[in-house]
Amino acid sequence: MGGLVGSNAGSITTSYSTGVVTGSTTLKGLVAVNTGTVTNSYWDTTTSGQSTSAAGTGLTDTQMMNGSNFSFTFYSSSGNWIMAGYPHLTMENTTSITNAVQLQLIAVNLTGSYTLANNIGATATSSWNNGTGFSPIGDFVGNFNGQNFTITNLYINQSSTNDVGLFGMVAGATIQNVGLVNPQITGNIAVGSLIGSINGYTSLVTTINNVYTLGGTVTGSSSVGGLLGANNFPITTLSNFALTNAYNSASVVGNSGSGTNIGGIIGTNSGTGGGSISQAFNSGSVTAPTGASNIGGIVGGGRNTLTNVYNIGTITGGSKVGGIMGSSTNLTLTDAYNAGFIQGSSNVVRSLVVERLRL
Amino acid sequence: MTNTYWDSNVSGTITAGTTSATAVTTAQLQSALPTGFSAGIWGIIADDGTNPNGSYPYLLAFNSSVPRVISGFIPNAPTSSIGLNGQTIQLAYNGSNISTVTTGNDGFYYFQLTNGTLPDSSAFLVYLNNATEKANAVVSAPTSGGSVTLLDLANNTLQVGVTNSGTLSNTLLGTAKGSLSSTDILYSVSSGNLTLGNATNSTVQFATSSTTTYNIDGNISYTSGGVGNITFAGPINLTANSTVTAGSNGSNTFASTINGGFGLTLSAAGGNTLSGVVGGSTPLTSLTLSGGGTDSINGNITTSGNQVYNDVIALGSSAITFSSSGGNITLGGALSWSGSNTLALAASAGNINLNSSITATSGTLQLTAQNATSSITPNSSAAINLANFILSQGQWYQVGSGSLPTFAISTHFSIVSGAQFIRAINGAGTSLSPYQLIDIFGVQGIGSTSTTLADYYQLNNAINAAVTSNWTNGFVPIGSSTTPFTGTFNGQNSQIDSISNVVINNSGTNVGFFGYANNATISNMGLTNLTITGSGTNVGGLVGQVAGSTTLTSSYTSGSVAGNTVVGGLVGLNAGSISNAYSTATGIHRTAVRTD
Repeated sequence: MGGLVGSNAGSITTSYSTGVVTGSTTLKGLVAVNTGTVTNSYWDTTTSGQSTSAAGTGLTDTQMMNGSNFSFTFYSSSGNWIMAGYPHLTMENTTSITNAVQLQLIAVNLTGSYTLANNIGATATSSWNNGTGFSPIGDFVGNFNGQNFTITNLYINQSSTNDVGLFGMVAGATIQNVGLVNPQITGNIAVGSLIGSINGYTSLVTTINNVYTLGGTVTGSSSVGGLLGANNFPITTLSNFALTNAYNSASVVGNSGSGTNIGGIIGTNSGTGGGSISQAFNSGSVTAPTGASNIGGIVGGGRNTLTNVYNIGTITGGSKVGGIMGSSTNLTLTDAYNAGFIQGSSNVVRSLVVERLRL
Repeated sequence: MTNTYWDSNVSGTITAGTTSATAVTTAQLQSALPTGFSAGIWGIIADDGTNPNGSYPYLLAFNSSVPRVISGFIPNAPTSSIGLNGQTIQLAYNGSNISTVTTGNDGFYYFQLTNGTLPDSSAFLVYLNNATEKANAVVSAPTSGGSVTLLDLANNTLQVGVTNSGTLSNTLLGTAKGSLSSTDILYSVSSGNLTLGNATNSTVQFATSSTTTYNIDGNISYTSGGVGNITFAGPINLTANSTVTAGSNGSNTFASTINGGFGLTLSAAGGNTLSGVVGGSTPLTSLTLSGGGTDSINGNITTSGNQVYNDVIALGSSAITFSSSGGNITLGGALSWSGSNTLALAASAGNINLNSSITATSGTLQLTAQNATSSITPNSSAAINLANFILSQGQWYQVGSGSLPTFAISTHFSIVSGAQFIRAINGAGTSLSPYQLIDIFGVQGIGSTSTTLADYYQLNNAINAAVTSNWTNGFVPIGSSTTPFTGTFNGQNSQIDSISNVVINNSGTNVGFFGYANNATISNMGLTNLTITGSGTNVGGLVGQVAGSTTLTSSYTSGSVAGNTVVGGLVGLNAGSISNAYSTATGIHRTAVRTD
């Protein structure tokens, strides 16, 4: 008996099995008896407990979660397979998401309207893709409604990748009603637990409402935020995103001495108009090394319309360190306060926000 | 005075004066010859001393043989609104009034007919002459000059037969009445058709005695505007094709059996009740229930021809079979029952037309129709809610155009070998128009015949097949080595979720969601959380044995798969072509075999 096929006299291509194979007769990993052809097919030697197979290629469980070990056609704009832990068929994409695999498979239909059907445990993502974890989804242009469910222990460790988050990049998307519990997110530029960056090269408006983090760590070099990394908006003066009802309690870490724009909610909110944020607060620590600039409790740097916001987290950075914002132009700030400890490596702790609202 | 008696019930109470005569009750006076009466001069039909069911003493001089007594009380005795005493009672036979009496103080009437006046077995009519109350009784005269006592009349009622009376019919009712014309007679008969009510009184209840056999030899209905119930307490013989129509808002009740090789149509807005076995001895040629009421059926129904049920039906709590040896069975009204009993619809040489819902959440429905295309056709109103469903014979064909009525079987679903089951929300089973399946029942139907096994299918939506754990032996693998799956199945998993929670318990060879696929095409099929418990050879999650030029693409399985030899998470034995497939199924093992 075999994980995939008991006895093969035909052909098997681009297939695999991981099943536990136990028993008293001939036990093999992929195929027990083979008189046919088997190509580009694999079995998991770890989970199956079988080191041999009449055909196929044996891979360890770790290797099975690394797409580079498979001669499969992986999805870009087409392709049958996508890595989500093990390889999965792109057809497994579903709009009602019940597990981390289905969360990853949003990537094969970026225009869909998705809902969470239950709380998602994503602990396993730490062993995906050779330890780099979940692959950020993007450009996501659809709708995502978490229905007030949570995603726990989402893991991404891609320190040289830009636009890193559950959604790497979005444009004109609607994302709402979801909490990220203990996210562990590491990227390079534009890193946020929920969204790496908002694509500013479209006129689409992204709406984000009722989202939060509970604990966890978000780490990057520049444009790092607890929820959003960067809003890159070079085109018009219109606001291209609206964020309402959000909070961050994850630790936000800038890890580059020359980094800029590290914020509790969003790192960079650029463009002539920036995006609007209302009813948001940060309680996580925001930390950047000496030399880093534009460090803020809500926003690292940019142009903003902020209403009903506050910070109570500790904000630590080099220069331009503020309770609400590190650096800002065209700021419209209404009904806000800071009650967090602010410290800078130099004596330039001078954001307008700091000057006006530091308590 | 010596040996003098008076009937204190009939005579009335003495209000003045005295009498030296002895007061006795009617029953006492009919119980035996009174003390002092000479048996050489007097005769009597003795009653039981409690009820007035004998005769008064009669003179042998005028009755060379025993007279025939007809007696009873008028309506509502002893508290009639019209007054009990002095009411005129007519006795008619063969179209003539042959005797007239008046009631006593307690409403008792008493005909004493000399032998031969009313021939044995002839139907006679007793009726009340009164402008306010109407009461009729028709009885068949007993054999051997026997009496009819306790023939109590009821208001606005045509009472047919009494205890131990013989057979009556529409024609015999007509014979009793003959050409008599009276507003006191509540019916008429013409050409064997019985019409209840008359020009001045259309409110009539028709009721037979439980021991009276009634031959329905024509239609029974009401005059225009007639109101009333028709109740047959005794057995029925059909001797002609008949329609029985209750009065407005009235009911038809058949408390006993119905037999006879003729057609019967029942119509009652107040509902038809069939409590006895219909056609058990001699099948009816047809049966139609209509009228718009709620019908109640408690016994088997057997016909040689069509059965049509147009009304809402409440079924009884014992196993019931509707059986037609040569016709169709058509359900046109919602049918339901609350018990765990079985309803068997058996049209072994005809069709079953389901045009209404069937609801029995604890019950079983068993269907048998001719083995011909579309012999069982549920329409868009045929919502099915059952505990168990057994398709014994026939070809269930249910293909919607975008919608389907409910088909919910909570416990066991089975298709007997040879029967065919097609249930799809769209499609024709062709390459261009595959059947689009919406539930596990339609999926199970794929395997029903070699015809369905060769058709084209795709899933219309995700299917949770958890109910298969309630099926005896679970889901039946689609296709076998003798009748393999040769068609095309597209799981459509690129647009929808997969089939989940399929349970299969099967000790045979070639076991899987598909048992045996030959020259078939299976694609985009995700089977999650499978539980396959096999103990034979060629056991696979998706397919037991893949043969011929079968292609299996873009498919996967998860769950557990168990078998004895040649077992795979996806496929047991493969001679076809598999690509882009995977299995994470666990527990692939040799089933424990006890040797002790």
